[in-house]
Amino acid sequence: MEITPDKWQQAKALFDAVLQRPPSDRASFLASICPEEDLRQQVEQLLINHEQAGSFLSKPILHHNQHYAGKSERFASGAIVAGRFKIVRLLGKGGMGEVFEAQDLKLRRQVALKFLPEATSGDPQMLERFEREARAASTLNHPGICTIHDIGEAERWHFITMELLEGETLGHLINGKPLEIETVVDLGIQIADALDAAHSKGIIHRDIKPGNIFVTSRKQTKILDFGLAKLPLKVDSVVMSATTIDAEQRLTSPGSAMGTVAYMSPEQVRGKELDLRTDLFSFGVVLYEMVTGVLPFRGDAIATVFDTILHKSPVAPVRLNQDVPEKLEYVICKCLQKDRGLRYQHSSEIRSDLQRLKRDSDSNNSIVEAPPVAARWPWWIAVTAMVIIAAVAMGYFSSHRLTKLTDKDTLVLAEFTNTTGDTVFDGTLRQGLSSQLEQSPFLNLLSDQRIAQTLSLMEQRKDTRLTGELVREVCQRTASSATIEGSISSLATQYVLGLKAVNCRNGDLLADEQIVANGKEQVLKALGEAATKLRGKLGESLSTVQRFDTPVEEATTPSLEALQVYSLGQRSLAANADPAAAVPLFRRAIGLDQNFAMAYALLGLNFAYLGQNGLAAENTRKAYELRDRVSERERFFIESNYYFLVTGNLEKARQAYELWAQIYPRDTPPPGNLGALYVSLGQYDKALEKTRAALRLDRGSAASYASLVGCLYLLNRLSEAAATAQEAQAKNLDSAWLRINLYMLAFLQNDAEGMARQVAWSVGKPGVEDILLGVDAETTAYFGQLRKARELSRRAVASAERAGEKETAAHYEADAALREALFGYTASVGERARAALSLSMDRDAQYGAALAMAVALTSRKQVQQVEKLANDLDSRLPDDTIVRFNYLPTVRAKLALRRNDPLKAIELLQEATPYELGSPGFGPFMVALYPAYVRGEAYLDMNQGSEAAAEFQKILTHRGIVANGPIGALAQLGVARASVLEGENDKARSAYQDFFALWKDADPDIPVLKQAKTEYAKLK
Amino acid sequence: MEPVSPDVTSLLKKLADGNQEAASELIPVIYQELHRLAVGHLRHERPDHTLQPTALVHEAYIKLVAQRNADWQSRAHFFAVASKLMRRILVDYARRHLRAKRGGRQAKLSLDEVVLLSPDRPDKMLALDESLTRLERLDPRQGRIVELRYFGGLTVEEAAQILGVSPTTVRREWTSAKAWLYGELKEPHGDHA
Repeated sequence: MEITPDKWQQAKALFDAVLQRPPSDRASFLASICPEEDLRQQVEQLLINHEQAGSFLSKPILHHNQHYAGKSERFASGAIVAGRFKIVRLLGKGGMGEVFEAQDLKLRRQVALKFLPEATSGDPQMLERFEREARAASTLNHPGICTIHDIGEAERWHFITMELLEGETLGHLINGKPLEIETVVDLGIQIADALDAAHSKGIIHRDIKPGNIFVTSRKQTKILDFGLAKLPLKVDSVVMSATTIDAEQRLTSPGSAMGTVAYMSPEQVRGKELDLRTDLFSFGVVLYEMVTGVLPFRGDAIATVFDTILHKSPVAPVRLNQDVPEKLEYVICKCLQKDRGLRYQHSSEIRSDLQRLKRDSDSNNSIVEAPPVAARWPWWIAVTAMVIIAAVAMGYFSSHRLTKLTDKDTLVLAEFTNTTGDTVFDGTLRQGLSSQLEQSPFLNLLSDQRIAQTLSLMEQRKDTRLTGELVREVCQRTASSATIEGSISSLATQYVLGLKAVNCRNGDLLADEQIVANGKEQVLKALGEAATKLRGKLGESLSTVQRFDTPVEEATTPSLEALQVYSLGQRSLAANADPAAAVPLFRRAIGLDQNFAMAYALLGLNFAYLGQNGLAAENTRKAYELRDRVSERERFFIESNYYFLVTGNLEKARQAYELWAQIYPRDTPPPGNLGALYVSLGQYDKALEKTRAALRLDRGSAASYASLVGCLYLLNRLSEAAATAQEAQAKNLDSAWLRINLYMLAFLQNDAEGMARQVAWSVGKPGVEDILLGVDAETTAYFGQLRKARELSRRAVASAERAGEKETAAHYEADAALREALFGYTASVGERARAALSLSMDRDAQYGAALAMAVALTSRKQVQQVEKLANDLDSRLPDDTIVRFNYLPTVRAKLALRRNDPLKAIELLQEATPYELGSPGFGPFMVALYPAYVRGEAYLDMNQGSEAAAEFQKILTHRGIVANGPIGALAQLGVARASVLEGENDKARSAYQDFFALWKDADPDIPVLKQAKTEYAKLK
Repeated sequence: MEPVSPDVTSLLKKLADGNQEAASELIPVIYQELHRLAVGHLRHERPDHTLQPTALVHEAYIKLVAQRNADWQSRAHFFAVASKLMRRILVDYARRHLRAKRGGRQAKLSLDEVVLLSPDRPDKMLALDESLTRLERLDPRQGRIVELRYFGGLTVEEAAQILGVSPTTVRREWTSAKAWLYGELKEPHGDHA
């Protein structure tokens, strides 16, 4: 039935009109008003449809579920039940029947009424049981248990009256996501306490699950339905006999059957007599779900769920949520023991363990109430290169006699015993084995850093060869489980390789493997094969062995010599944390194997550590091109670094790190680098979280500590930063990075002596000294002592050049240029900027130079130069998040201001708003909050004082982020100028005075200072 | 309950301020949000309600709605967008379900999808969607009314408020829209009543 819109309007109008008539008149009425045949037919058809339609579309497709719609077929609101309870509304509807909020007219209080399903109400035997149970449960008087007041009967319906609670169920609270550990522990203690109270009266719940645990708005837990589960009226009892439910039904009613079986204890599944320990198992399931957001025992059919409950161990919670402390994991595992004799025997034991955990973490927090780390310096990027992090094996697991390893066990790799007389195998085979074993998401190798640290605690040199007794001692001291010892010997032209894994607590042999290589060039291949077999023997599943098993000669390098030099580089990095010393080693490895992807990757990373970003990008790109030749884990490393260091696409980098972390949750680079990434984006809370996670994975990481200190001061949490630094130093985890952060911390605490101490410490340390000189230059400039700052910058540049770090030198030049420009010495800016650019064209140097010139802009030619630099950045790094959303808008806005177009400037800066708190510069180049500064200037140009003041105030407020950058001082002046525009002269005067006080020792001839004085004089 | 992402809030604000582009940005965000809530719910396999399949999507929807602040302007826009979304979600699922069925590849549908799927026959859902699209061409406002009432679950009064017309108008338009749609839908299936 085709109809045009016009015709439809007519038909509709007629239809409406006809409908007003009584049905019997309609036909004649229509004929009288609509002579047109076609149209009349249309309307007649509509009328017929209307009559036939009945309830068609009359209910929304999704009708309101009663739980939400608050409609009950049983009672309307206002109804009086049992002469005493006035129904207020329906609260919910579940397996138990309906629950109402009601007013108890007698006792004048609000209560909840829970009605039993009709089936129950009709069975006298069941009713008797119900009453007995309810009576018993009503004797429970505990703040953690929903109080049952009474039971009653209305018409044919039986109900319970109980305490009315406000809040939500634990199920709603979890909602598929992990809760904060602190919350888990707090709620867990309450639940354990409530269970204990009930159990000590001999009352078992039998149906502990998040849907039966209520969390009030004051975070008090209340267990619901105590004693009722025993009645055969709950869903789970249905389920017991419902294993035959067909698939369709199961899929479509996830709320009923599936949910409940997942919390059942093994004895419940088997239909055995239950005691209180069934509740402890279910409680364990609930705790597991609280910390991970998922159920430990899952399956898409009831039978599979039962099977996992009876036979399978759940995935360790820490693999799903890195924040889970090992002690909490222990509690959960002990609850989830299938043999109830091995479980906790009383809820009070769980309570004590959780309380202890809470106490411990509280006292920890007081030392390091630690916010996360921010990465401001290049080396924070990847905290540890390809290092696998040691997780200390839990006492619980390691107390078992070790036959096969679990994924909780940590291994220590010993040096190979080399009796061939050929030194090319020294160090090389260990590296090769390590690369091979590291691919396993199951095995966990003790990191080289951790080994070096342990050796130094044992008063051994950090690079001592790890053999014999020494390796066993390292294994024991680090609570690792086993050592892997290798050997190589020659037999004519053949080589015999041996590997064995030994339990380092009792010396038991866990597994061994021997393999013969025909000739030297086959050794790596043979090693790879032996390692793969060993993985299986140690308990790794076949599927992960197969999936993560790139042969070592393909993954790393087929060249023994290259592998040897590479392993030296790795070792140097681990033992001395000295990127400058590692660089030539990786270069040599590349010289020996031009396709050595990981050597390029580590070279790139070390350049990044050194602030040599151009070289970092170049080598990382090369690694990226060769990434087909690496193992899965190495590919994660290369790809994520590529996005982070080369293209600058931070979203892609973030995704790559997240994925990496999912597959290898114990690796520190993902959280460490995510910390750095979030710092660039200005999301410091997330940075803090990630850095903390990195530190948790490796408590012995100097880099993570340094990062944590950085994060804390960026967030203005100075005393925590100081405490964290102290803790690191007490642990002997001092580092150049930590020192640099201590300098910044001293600056933020106005501690001149503290700053001087760190500068003095750095003197003569290549690659470190220049950084402290550079930041010291910024500090003196911050106080207006520009002459001194120039001298310090000059020394920083010279020191960096001496250390061979041209890019870092370029950053000091760019910093200096920007400073000159901001302070009004426009004439010298061009020269400085050119000096920076001649040293390096890396992203930050180029931006710094462009911004400095944009601030100074003395000629048309300079405008063109700035435009050219900006366009070049744009085309060179089109995906770079920082360039797109921070750097380019700032430079272009500055150009717009130059063209007297502040409106355009503000428009350009709009995109920068979400990124402007970021500290994007790698290396000592700090450029946080420039978008806000330029926006403030734009508002000043537009005479919008209050908007301008808000921008400058932003800079002053985020002191930790801006730190000693020049705009930290100039923002004060910005506030003064904004106040003048507002006509608030008193406020302006005081802001000018603040600025003059800050610059009391400033060089008197600085243009911006002179100008400020003139402005101030006019105010008087 | 997890708050709705700030995106939604700010987009709604923009929409309320008359920025029509916000609507197109809002749709994917809310879609995702609904999906997240619904799927999150499933993953969690919450045992305390016996929910019907569609109720899952619905509950997600209600949750989302409940989180909106009381600002009616925003709420109105939210409902308008959300109704459109509900329609799209349900139709999408119906389409996929149908395709999977025809291809004999029902197993390819994930659990989430099966459960999210309307229990009604998916072919009906698609037919309704097509007819509604035709109605929109004839009379866009009527199309909106059906969307708000049927997919968004709004009352006549609420729909009237959103569209800025009187409830009487909504009621009148709703009646003729239903009659027309009923005619459209019954034809291919013979007697529908």
